[in-house]
Amino acid sequence: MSLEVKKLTKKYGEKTVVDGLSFTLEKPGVYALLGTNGAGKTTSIRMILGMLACDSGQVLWQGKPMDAMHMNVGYLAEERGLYPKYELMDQLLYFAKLKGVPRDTARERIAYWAGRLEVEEYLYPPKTKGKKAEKPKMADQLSKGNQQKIQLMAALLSEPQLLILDEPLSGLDPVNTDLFKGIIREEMDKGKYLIMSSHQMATIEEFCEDITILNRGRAVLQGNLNEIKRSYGRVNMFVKCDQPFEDIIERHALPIINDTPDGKQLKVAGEEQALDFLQDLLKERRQVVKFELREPSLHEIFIEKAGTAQEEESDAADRRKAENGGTHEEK
Amino acid sequence: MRRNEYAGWREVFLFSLKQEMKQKSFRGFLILMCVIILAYVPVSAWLQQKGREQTRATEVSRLTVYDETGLGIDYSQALEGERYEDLRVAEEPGDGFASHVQVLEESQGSTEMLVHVTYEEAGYFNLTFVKAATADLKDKDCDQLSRDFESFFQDARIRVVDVNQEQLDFINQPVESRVERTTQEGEITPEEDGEGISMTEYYVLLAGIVIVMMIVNLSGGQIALSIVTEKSTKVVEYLMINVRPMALIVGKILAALTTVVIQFAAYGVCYLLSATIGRLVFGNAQSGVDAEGQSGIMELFAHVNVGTLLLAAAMILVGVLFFSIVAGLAGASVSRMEEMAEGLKIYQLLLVVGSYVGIFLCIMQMMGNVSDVVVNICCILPLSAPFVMPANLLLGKVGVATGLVSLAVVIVCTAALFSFTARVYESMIFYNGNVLKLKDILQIAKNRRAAVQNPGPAAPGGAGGNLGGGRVKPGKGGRTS
Repeated sequence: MSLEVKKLTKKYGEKTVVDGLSFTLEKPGVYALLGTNGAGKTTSIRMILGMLACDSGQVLWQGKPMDAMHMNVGYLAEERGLYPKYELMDQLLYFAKLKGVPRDTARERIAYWAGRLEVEEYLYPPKTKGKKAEKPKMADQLSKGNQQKIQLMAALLSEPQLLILDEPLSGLDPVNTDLFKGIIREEMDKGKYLIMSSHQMATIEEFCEDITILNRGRAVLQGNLNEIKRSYGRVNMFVKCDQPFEDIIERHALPIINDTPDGKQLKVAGEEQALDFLQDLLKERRQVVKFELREPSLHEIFIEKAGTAQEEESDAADRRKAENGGTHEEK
Repeated sequence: MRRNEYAGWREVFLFSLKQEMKQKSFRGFLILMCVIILAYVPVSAWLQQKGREQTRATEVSRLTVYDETGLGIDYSQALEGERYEDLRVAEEPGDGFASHVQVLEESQGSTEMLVHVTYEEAGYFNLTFVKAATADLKDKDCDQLSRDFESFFQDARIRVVDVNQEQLDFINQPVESRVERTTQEGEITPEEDGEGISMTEYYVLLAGIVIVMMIVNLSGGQIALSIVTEKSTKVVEYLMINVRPMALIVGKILAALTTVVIQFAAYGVCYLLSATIGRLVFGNAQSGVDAEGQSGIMELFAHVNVGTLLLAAAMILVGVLFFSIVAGLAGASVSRMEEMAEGLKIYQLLLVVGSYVGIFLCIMQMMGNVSDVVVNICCILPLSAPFVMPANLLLGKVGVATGLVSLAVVIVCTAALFSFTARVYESMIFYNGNVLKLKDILQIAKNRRAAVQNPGPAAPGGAGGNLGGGRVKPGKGGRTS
């Protein structure tokens, strides 16, 4: 067991922003921290990194209290930051130096990652014969995506044991998303420990075995993603026919989750009900173009869990309001 | 304060210093100032020389004197010397003045001047100088001529009553008066409060205040801007996992101080170079470093020795440190660049109070309306001491003992402020929201103290944000330390 987060709690005044968060990273790989906006993901990450004091709880790295300052941690913050008016090379060398990376090694690694992330032209301005060399680029001369690449470089320069990526793919175009994914995969292959927070559920499904879904500071779902999905069963049915089949849906009393030109998504109680439905379609000679039965996606689980939790919160607030005679606002 | 709280300050210092040196604005300003200072002595000496050359010979060709006083002054000896070599002074009977004025009016470009000397009924001598409307004579030239003529007339009107040169010099000696008081023992002692400082001393004191104010402003502004930039761009997020907040602020303060020291050292070297060039090219008299001036300035600093110099330098250094810490705190209270001016109000207020006390004291010293006690108090007050003490110490207006007490007080205040900063800075650096007011900062300090004294449940946060937070200390179960 390498990283153990035990009952982390953080309050701002009366408001609890993280409430008893616990999870462990037992083996190398990517652990996902999911949640709606304001769920407490970034606060949790800041507490794990020791940037922010927790009100209670503990973070252990290999059985000992974790101190990010004395271990090799890479961090890509959600609110990315670079000095806007300083040269990129200076900034990267500075960040590497703060991590204790020798200057020559840092230069080698910068050269490697610049090539890997395709940002060489910004760090090593091209020299045209007969012309004055271009000035090195400042951060504010780069696009948001390229700034993100430089930030990722800064996080990777020290070859960290633990890499924490807060929304690493937000704002990236598909080409750069693939580039980032490739790098994350490489880090996984190197046996690194990663914690990733993201709103892109497809990406999480692609990389993560274990997840925690946070809602208003509380973990509403935790565990191995495959096991979680299995526990839901294959209840998602996708059907597309050449002829209308609403009458059959009505007969089976199946709720329509989604209706798109690509077909209808229906919720079934189990595999037997799905097979009955398919048999009826075939019996009544409807031309079935698509029939798919599968477990709920992470996206659906997330919507269900985050949505349910929000509804519960809302109900509780209504109850409190009713108890107080409707005179007090929820604080 | 643990040592590892400051681990990484060297990296922060070197990076901040390098970046400041690379700033175009810094280099541009430094070069501009150096060029101005380098050019100052030679250019001013050249202008002085040119001015002297221009006024060496008067353009006035003839001065006709119409004396109606009846004193019988011989004007043939008036206006002698190199300047008036080509000038002819003539005397005519007084009644011809009006007709001569008429002639002068009609002349074209005449370089003649008339002077009408009269004694008025009101009881004074009147010298009226007249030049032609079309005359191509410079006002400066005419004014100089009138002053020199007046000076001659002053002596001449006394000489006519048979006063010789020795007696005349004696009569012209300056008159000085002062009020003295008697002691209970019947002795006469000088009035202590009545004597003001000389204009030169006043300028030295004022220059001392301005220089310290410039140093404080430059370093304070640089620190505050750097902190606000890191907060507003979120770079601080990345830095905080590598370096502790106190190391960050210490590195920045030292970098700012070094930058200012480099700037002023460059200005000093440039001035020395400028004075040397001026002396070599134009000589001592023209370059404003004549022996008389030098000895006058040396007299002012007769009290200066290595000890007082070190004491004054230490005070400036500690004073700048004090205001830099205030600037750092003010910078950390701001989350967005556009709110920087609002956040720096406290810092600017303290700076203004300190320097204005210095300026006010300086004026009072010149007017002679201030006692030594007030000067000593101003030298000891931590806000005004960095502005007031160094120059007063070097001029001998305050003693070494007062200087030492003053330095000790400012060191204690700076240490206390630093300790306070260490308590609140960590929370402030992560604070994101509206500008923190002084009461919010005090609330943070209170919360942190409560957390240290009672490391059980954390003290709740303060006004509207993360005001009680801070870093987790390993081995303390993640409690706020």
